[in-house]
Amino acid sequence: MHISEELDPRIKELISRGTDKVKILSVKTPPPGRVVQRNIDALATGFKYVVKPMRMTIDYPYKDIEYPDGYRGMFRVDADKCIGCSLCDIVCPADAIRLVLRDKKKVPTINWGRCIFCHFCVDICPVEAFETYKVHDVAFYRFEDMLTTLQEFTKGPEEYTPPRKVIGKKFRVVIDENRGLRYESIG
Amino acid sequence: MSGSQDITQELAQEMFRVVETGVKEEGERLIELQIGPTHPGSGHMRILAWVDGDIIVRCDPDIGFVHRTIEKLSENRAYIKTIPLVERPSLLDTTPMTIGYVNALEKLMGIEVPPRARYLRTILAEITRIASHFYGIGILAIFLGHSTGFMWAFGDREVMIELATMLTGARITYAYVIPGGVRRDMPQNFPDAVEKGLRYIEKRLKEWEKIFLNNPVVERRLRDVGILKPNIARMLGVTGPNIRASGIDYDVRMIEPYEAYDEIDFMIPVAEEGDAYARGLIRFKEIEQSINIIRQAVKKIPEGEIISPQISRLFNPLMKKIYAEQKRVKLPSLMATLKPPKGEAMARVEAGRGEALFHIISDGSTNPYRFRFVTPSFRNVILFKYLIPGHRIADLPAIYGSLDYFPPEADR
Amino acid sequence: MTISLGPLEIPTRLVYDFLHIFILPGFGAVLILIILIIWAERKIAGLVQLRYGPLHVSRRFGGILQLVADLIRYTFQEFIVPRGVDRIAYLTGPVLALIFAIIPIAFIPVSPFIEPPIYVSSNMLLVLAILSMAPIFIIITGYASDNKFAFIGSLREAFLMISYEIPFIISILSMALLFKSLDMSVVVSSQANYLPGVILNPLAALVAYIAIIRITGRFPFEISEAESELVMGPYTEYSGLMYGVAMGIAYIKLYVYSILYSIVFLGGWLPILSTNLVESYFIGSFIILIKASLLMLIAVFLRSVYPRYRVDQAIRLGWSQVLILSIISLIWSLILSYFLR
Repeated sequence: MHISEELDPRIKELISRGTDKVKILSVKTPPPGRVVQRNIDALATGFKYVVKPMRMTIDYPYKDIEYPDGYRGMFRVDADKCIGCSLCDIVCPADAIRLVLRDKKKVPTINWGRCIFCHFCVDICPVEAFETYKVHDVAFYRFEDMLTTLQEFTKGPEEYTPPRKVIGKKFRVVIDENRGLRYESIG
Repeated sequence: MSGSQDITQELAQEMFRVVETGVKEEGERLIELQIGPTHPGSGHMRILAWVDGDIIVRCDPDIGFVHRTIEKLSENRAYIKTIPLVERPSLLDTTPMTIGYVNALEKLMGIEVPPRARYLRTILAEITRIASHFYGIGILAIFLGHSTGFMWAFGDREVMIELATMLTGARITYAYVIPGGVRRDMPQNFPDAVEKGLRYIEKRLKEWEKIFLNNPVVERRLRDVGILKPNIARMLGVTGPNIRASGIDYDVRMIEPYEAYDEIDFMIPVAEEGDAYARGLIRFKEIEQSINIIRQAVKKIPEGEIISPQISRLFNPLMKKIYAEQKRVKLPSLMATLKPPKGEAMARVEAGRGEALFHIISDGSTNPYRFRFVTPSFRNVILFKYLIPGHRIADLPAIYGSLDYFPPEADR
Repeated sequence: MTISLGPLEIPTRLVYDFLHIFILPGFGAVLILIILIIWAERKIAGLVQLRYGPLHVSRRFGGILQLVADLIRYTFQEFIVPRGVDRIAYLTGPVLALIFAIIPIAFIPVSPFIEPPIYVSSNMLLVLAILSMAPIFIIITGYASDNKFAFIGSLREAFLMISYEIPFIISILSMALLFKSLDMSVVVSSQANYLPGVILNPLAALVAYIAIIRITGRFPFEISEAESELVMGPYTEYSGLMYGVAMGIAYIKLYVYSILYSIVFLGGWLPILSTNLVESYFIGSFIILIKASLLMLIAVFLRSVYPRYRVDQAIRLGWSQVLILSIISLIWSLILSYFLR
């Protein structure tokens, strides 16, 4: 049996429903030709960037980026507000927050190695006990340091050991029409 | 339906015969190349290619290296915990996956989504689609050896990722879509930044044409390579831009519109040739169409709620205050232990690589009984077996790049 | 003539030979120029690709010492010799390819008044012959490594070597026909009398440049070491210092071919005005190196614009278009040499 080039009519009627609602933009491959012109165009486009560079990257860590408002980073818990309802434990997709029993009260602890920074816990807390920061790149020397107790969970990322020192001048990302991303320095 | 089964069986037998007769024993002329997982041109999979001189005689994809048992993991978790999980396989277009899962869940529970939330979901889905197509173009470029195309693609993708950071707060894994709506509203400077970003991408598409699409060496490498005929594509179940480059106009956004797609005016690009060049060109044209969709959605977005009233009536006074002031949706405690009624629901979406299908079977408890989802890359992987034999070794990266196959998405 | 250094009497010829082979344009210039050219390649690629390129190693100078850091790393990396390789060929292949790529420097003159260290009256032909032997050892390295990808890489190198060395030799010999001599000093002085070779026979210049881009493995002809198809081509199984040697072979060949090209087509050490021996040596070699660097920079800029060809497309290009252009350039030289008495 030879596979013909045409679509079999029995298949055609199976797919005919639904195609009347579809609006098509017919795309044609441009014909080959004008080889010399196209080579010169490609070389000129590349050369334009050698002469006028337009860098889109930033040499972290000598320069630091400040993320926009609402960026999901690390967070800390306010121990006075927490009522121990365990909703953050139930909803965490990665089992990172655990409530442990201490002095007949349930207190939250977090394992930063597992956290995926989805902020479901921040959003489900009925008393708004979490305070969020825009920092996510804290480094730990030992694996055990990532498993925090309540004591450490109440501290912000600036106070962890080792502390996250500000490494370079801070820049903010601005979307620009000509350059794509532009970095403006703040402070 | 038995009529179509005869056709598929006949065609399948013919296809198997065409491929199997070419294989000889490994010996003097036939070499078995294992383009394995630790190879710069293979991704997270192994491709076994039997090569006779320079011509590939038989090709077998060996997938499953990145299987993370997403479907089984979701059977032990509550419904809302699966939302970040279902984003993880296909890391490039994460939003359509969450939209599909949440749509299936909403069908099961009968939750209505307000119009503003639907438009916000559409805007994020199209932003993700542009980012995903740029990734596909970049991989096609680096497999051909065009390192500038690779770097430009990832640089332009970065603009879209920064826009998404402004909207949702994360760079790639947003977890923005929840049953009933979305989690946050647009910030004040968002429409302005979106317009600037889209104008930048339009400007760059012209330079892409000069250095990549019209580059004579790229044309020589991609023209008439890996031609996929329409009836074979239909029989194998290929989806996405691969099938739209072969002349079949199939796009879930038009056939079964979801979210705000039935209120927005756009076209789907379809090409006739079916070779690797057409598949690359279709991705560029789809980026232009997505720019069109985002512009219309940002202009037409209605005012209103971003979360369904069925959920917002469960807020306590503190949550209501935060919602009114910051437009940030707090999750009521019911969300952590959702118990949908018994039944099953299906939803399908058009992800960047094709059609994704979500099927949830619930038995009334907090964990699903079965969650099945079929990703577009999993349906496209069969093309490795049928498109590649007959081409040369150097065509294998070209065809692989043009199919935009992403192994973690196929393995889930 | 001798130079007296205290109690020592050193013949001038020996001093000149030492300077020519070890400092300029020999090993010293090779090392410095290769460090600069590889840095320029990565920096130019970075500029076109919207990023910085190498910047970390010596920040104040724009990362120029990056290659020195890389070479230090390769020196201290473990050099693993796999079990199934043919040991003698595996260990000596890249080394011999390097030797044959760098020997021609001893034959090339850089000054109008001083003979090169080894003077042969037909030194252009000798340089071409020695340079054609380097690819043979690359093929041997690929075959000696017990690896299917290296084998395919050396097959590709064998096919392409034959397709592109022939047009190169024909175009260089057509220039020799035009200037009626196979001696490079005579060729340069003829260009002083008439015009530079690139204006007299532009077709030969174009063919020779395309052939140089293929022979040294620059994009779009980087086919034998195609990274997404064969892991590293013939050099797949190398690590440690031999990997550094293998990477350097292509750039040393580019250096020598560029010097040859600038002597035959661009006028060599012209315009040189002084007649002092010492000055003519230094100024002459500087002028040649500047012209060679310009050619190397153009060849290296192509990495950011082009992908790579497929093997059969490159071979077909070589046999159908480049060869025919080189034969046309030969005929053009014949016609033109009649008019240039």
